[in-house]
This record gives sequence, structure tokens and C-alpha cells, in this order.
Amino acid sequence: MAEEFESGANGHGQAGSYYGHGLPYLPIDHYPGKIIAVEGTDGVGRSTQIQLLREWLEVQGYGVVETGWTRSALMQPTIEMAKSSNTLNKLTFVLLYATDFADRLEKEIIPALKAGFVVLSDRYIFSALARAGVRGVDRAWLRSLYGFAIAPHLVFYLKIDVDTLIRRVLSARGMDFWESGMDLKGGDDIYDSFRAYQNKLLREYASMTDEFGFRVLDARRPVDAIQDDLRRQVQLFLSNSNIGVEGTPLDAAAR
Amino acid sequence: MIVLADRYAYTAFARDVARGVDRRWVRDLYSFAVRPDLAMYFRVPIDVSLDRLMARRVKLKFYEAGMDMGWSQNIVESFRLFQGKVLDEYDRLVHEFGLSVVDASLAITDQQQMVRNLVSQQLERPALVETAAG
Repeated sequence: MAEEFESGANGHGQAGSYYGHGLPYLPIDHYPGKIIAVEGTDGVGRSTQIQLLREWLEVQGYGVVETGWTRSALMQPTIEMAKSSNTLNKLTFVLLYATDFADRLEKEIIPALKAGFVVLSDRYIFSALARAGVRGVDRAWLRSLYGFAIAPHLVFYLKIDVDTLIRRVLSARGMDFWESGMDLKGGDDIYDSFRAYQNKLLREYASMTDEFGFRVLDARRPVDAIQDDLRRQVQLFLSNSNIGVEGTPLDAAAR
Repeated sequence: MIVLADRYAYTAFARDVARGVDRRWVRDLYSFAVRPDLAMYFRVPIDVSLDRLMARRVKLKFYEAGMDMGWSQNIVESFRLFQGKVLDEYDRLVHEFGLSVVDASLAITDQQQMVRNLVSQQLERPALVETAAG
């Protein structure tokens, strides 16, 4: 009913703080943990990179918590059910995702930040902004909606072109209904639809790169090369932060 | 067509804010909602609503009583605390959104008379043919 939005997710968010009004009953300032988000489209290799990064961080003594889109205990069954019946409209799609994120934020992410963990997030709000943006949902409203999100400390964007993506997805597992944007009714051919939809998604991510300060990684390279890049940047960030190797979560708990 | 809605976004505005959600955020969230042509708020003191629920011997519902807030282990006490905040929010909404207040402690026939008056006034307005909301 309001026409103008006071605040929301935008590039001026301070890492570790809420973008907008946040959750007034959960102040989070000065929590020692860090959020590292890995973004990128479907099939780009996010999970592989996160798994490798996690092991590497844990070997160094960091406590790591992993969280991922639609993985909340509250919403995962509902989202699966809604997707399988193909009855989602663009608004309910957005609201289900936002509810999933809200649940994980309160129950996983914030407690982990408080306890000094590194939170590795497989996708973050940017995937939701991209998918909804492609479907024509008002961008200002979306950013206002996600005003309760916390600005991550680092956002890595695994960038790929659509041709490489198609080869990779076809050889790995094939195209699925939602990843192909079949709900947008662009045509009956899943291949054409996938290409058109993913192209639009990639444009959305590209437009957010500057807005939100993504660290872009070329995802066409071998897994190890990407991982090396990730580790170098994460290492640099963590060694300059208050949970460097001397201040691991274990030490923090002992104080 | 006339759409009769049993509760509307105002319920969310009242309950969510009572739970500590940011007032402005929840209004922005529901900005996709159509503003109703007429919104009636049935106002009743907590004691009356509690008496009515108890008289029907219904078990107070967990969320209706705000038990998720952890303010009291006693469900009746929790209901009082939580619904008290909800009612405060509704009073704010009356002014903010121009809700038409119906005194719900009156006899049902009196309330229904008021409702019919309010609806009649609304239906007689020529603006009804337009879909845009106030």
C-alpha cells in the first residue's frame, strides 16, 4: 500500500549489518562471525567450490557453518511441493524464498555469527533478486523486502557464459523446469527456454555486480584454479579481521 | 463483484509488529495488496474476547496467545499480554488507514446494523465502479 520504500538491500550496506531495518528484536552489531556468500547461476559449480573452501577453512581451525537457498527445515518441503505442482506465481515464488531465508537467518546465520563462525552461503539474496527481477517483480519492492538481510562480508560471483553453462548442465544432469524458466511460458522447447532464461539471469547478476560489489570469478576455468582464487581472497580478508588465526572461535569462547 | 475478506493485511500489521517486526517493513512488504474500499475493525476489550473464548470452552491457540514470544508460561496471561499489544497496534491502524470501527461488545444485531449502514454508504458511492482503490 506504500508507494515509496524507505530502505532495503542496496550497495551501501555495511558488511555484517542489516541492509534495512532488519530484525529490531535481534541486534547483531559487533558479532564476530563472517558471512561469505557464493553466488552464481544454476550448475555453475557453487557447491563444489563451497565444499572445498569449507574443508580448507576447517583445517585452519575456523568454525564453518554452511547454509543454502531453500534449505530451511521450515520451508524446504513446502517449496518442493509448490515447485512440483508448478502452481507458483511470481509473487508467491518470491515470498516462499524470502520465508526460507528469514528462517535460516534467525536460526542458522545469526546464531553462527554470534558464536564467531564463518558462514558459507550457497547463494544469497542476490539469486532471489535475479530470479524475481527476470520475472518482472518490482525491483525496488524486492530490495525493500530483503531489507532484513545482513550484508555479507564477501560476495563471490561465479561468472559463466550461457554456452559453457549449457554444455556443463547437459553433460551433468540435464535441464529442469524451473532452471529453464519454463514457468515464463516463453515456448515449449526446454533448450530454447533454458538459453533465453539463463541469459536474462546472467544479465541480472551482471547488473548487480557493481551495485553490490561482487568479487567476480571466471567460472569457466578448472575447479582448482577457481578455488585458488577464492582461498587467496578469503585468506586475505580473514587475516585482516578479528577472527584471524589467533582469534579462532575456540579462543573466543575461552575468553 | 464484492469481495468479503475475513481479515486483511491489517491483521499482519498488528500481529507482526506486536511480535517485534519493523512497522515500516511490514507495510512495504504488503504494498502489493489492493487497498480495500471499506475496512471494518471490530473492536473489543481483551476481557470480553477472553470471556467469549472461554465461554465456548475453546482451547486458546498457541500463536493466538503469543506463546511463541515466551512472555508467560500461562496461556491466558500470555494471551492478555500479546493481544494487548495487538490491540494497541490496531488503534494505531484505525488512524493510519481510516478503518471503520465497529463496537464489537454490542449485541450482534446492533453490530450488524452498523455494518449494513457502513456497507450501504459504500455501495451508494459511484466510485465503486472504478477498480482503483482510495
